[in-house]
Amino acid sequence: MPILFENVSHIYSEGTPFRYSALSNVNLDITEGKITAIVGETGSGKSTLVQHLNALLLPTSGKVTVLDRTIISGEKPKDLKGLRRNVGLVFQFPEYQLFEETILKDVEFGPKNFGFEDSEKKAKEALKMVGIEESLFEKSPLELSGGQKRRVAIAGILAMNPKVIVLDEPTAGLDPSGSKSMMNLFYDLNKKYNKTIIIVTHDMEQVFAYCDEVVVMSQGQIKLKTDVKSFFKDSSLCKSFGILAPHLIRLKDSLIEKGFKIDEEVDSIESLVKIVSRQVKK
Amino acid sequence: MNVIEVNNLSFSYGDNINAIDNVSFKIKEGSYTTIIGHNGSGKSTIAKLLIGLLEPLKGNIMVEGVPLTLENLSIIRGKIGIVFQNPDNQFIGSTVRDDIAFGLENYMVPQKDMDAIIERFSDKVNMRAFLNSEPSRLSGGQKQRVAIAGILAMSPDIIIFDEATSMLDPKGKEDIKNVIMQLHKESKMTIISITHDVEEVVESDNVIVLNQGKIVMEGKPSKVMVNKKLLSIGLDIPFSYKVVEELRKQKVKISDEVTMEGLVNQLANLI
Repeated sequence: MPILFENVSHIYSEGTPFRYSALSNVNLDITEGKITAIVGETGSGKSTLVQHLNALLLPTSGKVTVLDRTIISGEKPKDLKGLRRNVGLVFQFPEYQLFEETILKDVEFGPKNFGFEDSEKKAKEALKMVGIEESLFEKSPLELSGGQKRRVAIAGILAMNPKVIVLDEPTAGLDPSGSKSMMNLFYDLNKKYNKTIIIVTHDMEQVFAYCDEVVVMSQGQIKLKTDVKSFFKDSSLCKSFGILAPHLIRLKDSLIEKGFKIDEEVDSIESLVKIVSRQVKK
Repeated sequence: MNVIEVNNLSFSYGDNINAIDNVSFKIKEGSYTTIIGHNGSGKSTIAKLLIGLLEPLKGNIMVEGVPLTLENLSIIRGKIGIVFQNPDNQFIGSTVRDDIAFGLENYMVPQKDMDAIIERFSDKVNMRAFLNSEPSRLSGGQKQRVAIAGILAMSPDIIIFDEATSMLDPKGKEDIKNVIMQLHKESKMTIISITHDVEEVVESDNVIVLNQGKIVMEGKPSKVMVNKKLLSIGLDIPFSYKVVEELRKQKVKISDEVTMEGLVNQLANLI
């Protein structure tokens, strides 16, 4: 089922002096079952774009199709429950949105609201998925560390078993191991549970290591959609968008500049070093 | 000379767990020290203790020979400036100029001297062109640079960056890192940067690694940041060091102390 933007524009505060055009004439087809990264500088429209996916924002003009729902500008959409259940949106710093007395109750809130009869079971499964131990279930969310809180917030979305999971900068402010296990979680959700994952991120190392496709945004427009391998073939494409390529690709390019011959695809330090070590005096 | 001496410092937020647990370290004048640890390792608590925002449970802190006590607080704050994590929480003025002026006004710097100081330090952080801009027109990185200019204008001997780049986008991060590097090269200021960016650590003279409120490793980044122990405490090994390790496995002779640039140059000489 498609995730499709057709000629979508979004203007904030239309008709006021604060009018701001955040998306202009966006056409985009996000592939189902893949991990797609949305990248671009601050203010390029990434967050505005993804909030259209579950109709939190409605297009000022154009059409958004998400799975079996189509949202058309100017038409007030009726009953968004189905769409909201199928598309889970995790905001930036979601840990600030925890509010219940216990962790379990917090995660249960969503499925309960959607009328799931087995909301407790769903909540427990979701907490397990994000690696929160059962001994913590009855504790207050406030007793958790920042990284744990964020996991609980994500579990709240997973408990509704959405088909599409949208994450707006999910690893911002986390330390390296926290980021890594968070990204591994999304990777597993995609590979094991076949969830479509859409991640807004600034971190090209993550895009390189975990994502299948990449969408580059600038000034409210889609500048490029391509697969991650071709995006990081060398650093020139990144550079043309003012994006800093992953370390490995930059190193590879610098070495080529110094006379090394690296024609093969490089996807890890090991693979690069193997090629390089054949060409140096030992 | 040591500008900061921390002796047997402990601190608890009142939950019987020591957020800082018997920590001692010294920081040399003019050095660039990074303090690294995972979320919750106690690194930001140390920053708050160093500027007297928190009071130690045990132990003491000496800043340029002056003990950090409640009575000495204003003397100490004259010596240390701090840049915090969230740029939005630090903007006080309605323009960049007002913001940098705020601290100076508090220290009763004469109005006639103020403009020159503001221009000089906004220049240092590359924000002179924005002096009359409103904060809402600035990016996170630009706001953070203004915060740095405001601190520099007070001419502290020591500047602490408390995760000053962690909320910024890559460009903002790069800008602030460059400002830090430039300060380190061009001034005699002592720099302490609290971070979980392992790539920033490579550039520093010294690194202190914290875990569960304790110092677990300390020393030159090229010696410390290769230790596998980092992985078990939620950190990572910097990219260039991983490459060096892999090169050595392949019997390539390569020396320590490498930044990416150094690494590329070393390899180019072996071709």
